[in-house]
Amino acid sequence: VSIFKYASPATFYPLAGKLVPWFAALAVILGAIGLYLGLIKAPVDFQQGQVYRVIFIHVPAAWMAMFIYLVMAGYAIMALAFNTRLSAMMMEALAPTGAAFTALALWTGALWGKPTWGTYWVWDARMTSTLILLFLYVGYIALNRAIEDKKRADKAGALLVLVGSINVPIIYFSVKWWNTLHQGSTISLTGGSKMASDMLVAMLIMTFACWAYAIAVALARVRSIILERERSSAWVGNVVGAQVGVQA
Amino acid sequence: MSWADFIAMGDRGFYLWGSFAAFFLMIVVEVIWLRISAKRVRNELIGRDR
Repeated sequence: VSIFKYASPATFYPLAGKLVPWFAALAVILGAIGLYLGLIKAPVDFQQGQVYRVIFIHVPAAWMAMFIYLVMAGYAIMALAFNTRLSAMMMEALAPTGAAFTALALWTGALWGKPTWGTYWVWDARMTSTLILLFLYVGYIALNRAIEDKKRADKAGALLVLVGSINVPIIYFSVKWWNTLHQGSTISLTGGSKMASDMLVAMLIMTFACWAYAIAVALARVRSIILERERSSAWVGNVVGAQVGVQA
Repeated sequence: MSWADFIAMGDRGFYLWGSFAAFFLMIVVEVIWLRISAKRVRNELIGRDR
């Protein structure tokens, strides 16, 4: 069976419906384990004390904010190159979750910053570029809703996402390129981790929980977007008819 | 660690629980929003087909 058959909204709709409960359950299980390890089992940090536990939300949220935007950029390339309808729908479905994770990263960063750096906010490169990422998400959502012709909205949105994706490496490397108040990376793809293993495991499990959550909500959201956009298709009529039949 | 110590989090409870509260609030708001929009789309389509 070719995976390309799922590039069609009609075949992807039922697949997404089957996957949502699995990813939601995975998010709940991993989230419960991650919170238990992070809040109870992980030791107190000798420098920051208990407040360091904000990392179990802040770091996964910041990673998800960047990762979701990169996934959107991947869909933007597919939407522009192959004109696939589902790619644009996935971008639309991912954007609110990406924006929420970005806002959460900024909020938790501010609450972590006050007791550790003595301030909620400074205009340093890491925080400013993350704020720009939030504006990019909000800008994409606003642009998508402002243009009535969906084909034009998809193209304009894909272009905005692609141009904005340059901000993601800027966020990631900002702590290396500039002298920032924000601390450097504790974990890097090449240099391993400087964290205690108990803390690292809890943080990675919380990251996977956020990942499963983002997939579950994006798939649930894209189902509504598919129905809305494909409303003139016969198969949507059949789906709605079947749902009404089940209710009756 | 006692329950009171757990809540206090070494006098950093406001910052820590403020972060966790935002995390759970985000999830609750997003899930409720998803359900409302799914219901709205379905009702629109049912209304159109009648």
